Amino acid sequence: MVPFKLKLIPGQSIFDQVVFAATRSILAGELKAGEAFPSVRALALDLKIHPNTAHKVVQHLIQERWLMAQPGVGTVVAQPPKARAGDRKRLLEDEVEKLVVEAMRVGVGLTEVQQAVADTWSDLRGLKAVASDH
Amino acid sequence: MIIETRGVAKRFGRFEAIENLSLGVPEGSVYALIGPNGAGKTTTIRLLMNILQPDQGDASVLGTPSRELSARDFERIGYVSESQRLPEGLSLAHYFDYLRSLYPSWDATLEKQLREQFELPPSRRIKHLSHGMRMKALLVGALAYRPKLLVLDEPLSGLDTLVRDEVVHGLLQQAADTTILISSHELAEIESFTTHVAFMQNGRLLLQEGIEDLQARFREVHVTLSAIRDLPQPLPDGWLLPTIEGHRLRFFASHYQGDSGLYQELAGHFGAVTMECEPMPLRAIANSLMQHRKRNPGS
Repeated sequence: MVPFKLKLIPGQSIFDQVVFAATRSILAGELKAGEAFPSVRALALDLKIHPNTAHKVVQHLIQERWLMAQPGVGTVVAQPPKARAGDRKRLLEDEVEKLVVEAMRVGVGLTEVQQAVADTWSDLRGLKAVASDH
Repeated sequence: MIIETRGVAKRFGRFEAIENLSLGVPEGSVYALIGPNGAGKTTTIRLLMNILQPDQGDASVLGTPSRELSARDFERIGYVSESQRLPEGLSLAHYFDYLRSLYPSWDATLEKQLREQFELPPSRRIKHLSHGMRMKALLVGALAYRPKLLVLDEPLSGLDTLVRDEVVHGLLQQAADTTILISSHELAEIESFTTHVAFMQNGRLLLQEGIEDLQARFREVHVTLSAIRDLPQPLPDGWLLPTIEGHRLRFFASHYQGDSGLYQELAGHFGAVTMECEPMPLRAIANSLMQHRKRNPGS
């Protein structure tokens, strides 16, 4: 079984969805540094995706330093990588702007957005707290 | 290209089954041939397998012209179709003994593993197999010699969901080392591992494209207009099946390049609007294209 939660949404990039699910679960601490990451083959079979897509996902995660390839062992989870220059600005300006525009379009108020952000934040933190108890 | 056809045509009497078909199946792809019944999918596959010969045009498979494909070439091609004839009187064990002797590259370990995985009863005679078991036996027979190309004509139709999952699992185990051409109605089942799609309708190719590109450019669009208007005439490029009712407009965008571009296009036609765009599953993309083509036969 693939050790992260993922229900593929048809019509959207499978690569993006799997990469997001994997990084989310590493950040939430469900997947801990040093743990084995599924092989390309296991990923492909469990998620019913093409092995080449699974391969691309693993290569991308290695390149972005979420995973490390350990010869003879396979791929293991790394310490979550440090942010690159510009990541902070991109998040706080561009992504937040997108969220706010979308909220206005849909008609969701500021407090609702703040609450939803806080809830999601504590959900992921909560997962991390539970995961680190084990 | 593992498979390439140029301008292939095939008639049966007066019926034009295939017209001017040009396909290219890249190495390593899972290439899905999609279309309604009677679109020409099975005929296309039979032309590629040299069961039928084209009236016009050329086709090549693994670099060999399809008309010249011989037993030698079929050692590198696995072909599975629903209508395949089998030695009905043989037990499965005998059937696999027979196949093993035919193929120099037969991998007995893989055969054993697949037979166990598919729970195929060795002593059962082929004529007593259920449809699902029959398809699984055919698949083992096509996978076990590790062909460079697998050609599957409707391998999932008529199978229950459990057997479908088993068959897909069996295919994915080999997908990294082979090229797969698959014709199917079951778009939801194959969407997650398909790399390329070709839509056929009435013997013609509507499109062939990488699935990620296709999914990136199709959106289901719902628009709320600030004032009641008619559809722009002529219709904007790439709008499929638009319907307008009161303030609500719905259509399928086939050249989507991001929300802002589409929003500007809509604003140009209708003034202030609100819109929602959703990515579309393969089945919805196929349906919208085919319905569009039905209503606009010339386009």
